[in-house]
Amino acid sequence: MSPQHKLRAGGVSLDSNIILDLYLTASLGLLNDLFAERMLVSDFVLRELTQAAIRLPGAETVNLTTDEEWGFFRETRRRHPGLGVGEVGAITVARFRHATLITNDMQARQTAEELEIPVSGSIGVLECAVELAVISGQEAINLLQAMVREGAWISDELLELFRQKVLTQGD
Amino acid sequence: MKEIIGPNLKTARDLAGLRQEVFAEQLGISRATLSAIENGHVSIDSGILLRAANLLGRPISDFFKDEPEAMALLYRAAVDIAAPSDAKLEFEHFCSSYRELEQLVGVADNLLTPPAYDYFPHVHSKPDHFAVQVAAAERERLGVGQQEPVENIFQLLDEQGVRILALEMKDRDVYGLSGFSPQYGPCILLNAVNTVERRIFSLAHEYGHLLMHRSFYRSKEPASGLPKDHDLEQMANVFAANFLVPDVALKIAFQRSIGDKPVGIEDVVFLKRYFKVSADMMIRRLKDLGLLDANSADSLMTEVNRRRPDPTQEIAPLQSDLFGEWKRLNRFDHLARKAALDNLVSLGKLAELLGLNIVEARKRVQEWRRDVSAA
Repeated sequence: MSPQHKLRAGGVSLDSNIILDLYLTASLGLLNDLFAERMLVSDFVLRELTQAAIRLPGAETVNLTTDEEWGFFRETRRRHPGLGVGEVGAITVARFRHATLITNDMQARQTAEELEIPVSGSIGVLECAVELAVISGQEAINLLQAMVREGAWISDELLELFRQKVLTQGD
Repeated sequence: MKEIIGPNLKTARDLAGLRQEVFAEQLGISRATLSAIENGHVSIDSGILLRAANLLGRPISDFFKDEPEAMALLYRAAVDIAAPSDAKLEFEHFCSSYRELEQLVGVADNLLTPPAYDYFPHVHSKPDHFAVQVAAAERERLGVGQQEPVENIFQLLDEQGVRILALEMKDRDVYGLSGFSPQYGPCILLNAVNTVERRIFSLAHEYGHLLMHRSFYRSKEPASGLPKDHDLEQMANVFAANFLVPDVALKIAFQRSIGDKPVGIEDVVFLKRYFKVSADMMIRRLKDLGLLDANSADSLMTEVNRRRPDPTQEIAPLQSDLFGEWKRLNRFDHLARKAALDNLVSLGKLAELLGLNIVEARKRVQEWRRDVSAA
């Protein structure tokens, strides 16, 4: 028996990039289907979404309050100046709420790995959705292709690997 | 972090002219709590910080700056400028983003700041003469000599590291604004509502201030309430006129294309397009150089005004799109493209730097990718 997908349990901290991918492909509802009651959004991410008139119902907004959280936030910003306030907020939330960071941003992913924070992206979300039979393998492939058309940066090789994996999973 | 956010919050509140008790009420906290936050004694809740950023109209990243004093953009203390405060904030954000992009791409400090030709009122007895000399010296330094028009001043100054931002400001009488900081170098804000000829002159005018009056850039606010300094403004006008239309170049063009015949409106149109300035300025330069007598200058000015479709427009507008060419190929955009396409910045960071929301930033990156793929 293959192990459960890592996103099937525990909190998830979302950054704007991943939410945008789902929003632009009219599939934001997938997040609630998969992560109801365990979806965390930094208030810095929420601000980015609000500025773009994107609403994400069902997520818990997390503010930074303690010296320790602010200290971590500051240090991460200092060491990774290419990250925006939203991404650093999402990383901070993942760290202090022991959640998995979900982002497609290369810089954010690298930073999370460096800080030993578990990380996943659109592909992980879609794999999890297929595993839970929320969507079919083919629907997941179509969705990922739609994300690429909407500007998600996913290489052809990765797309092909994903296609093979979810179609096998569906067998 | 509280030691950084607190003082930044206080500075921003002071600049907005808000009293502590009023601001505390708007934030929904007590004055004592705000005071403790501003003094760096307690950490702020990020939700309150975001509310403060909204109320003060500032990007959230402003509150995380380590050295606001060293980075502050300084304006001339004695100016008569009423740029709207939102335009000023956008200008300062642009200058700061420009610097950050240079650092992220790894080209910060690769360009030398244009030299200062310091004007000292007690030493230089002929300010106008000084401005003429500076215009000539700067043309030589930039390699454009004295005999030809400047091809594209936007491009020329952009290549020198001058940070130029054009924003639409409703009040056409706000032509431009300049700021300086040792970190950012020279920064110029132009009113994009005005004609391109006006923008060209304003750019040269502000550049003149930055070259000649750098030691006057001491104030954090552009409008200090001091009376307008006519000498400095006049010097910047003389600089702009001589930088855009040098005596030698105008005499050569005049000799070559007009000669001894009386100057007509067609000559003014030809010369204004050749030097890329307004018809008014061209007539004034011809008069200054004695190529046109006072009566002829007056009647030509009357004729220009009669032909002008309305006072906000220029007769015989420039035929080449100098501003558009520069907009399509400017250093700031190149740095932003490079940072995004080389994955040096995240989407959120790009949105912050460009003052866009994340959907707009995503679309911008998509356009850049398509552009590069098609190249």
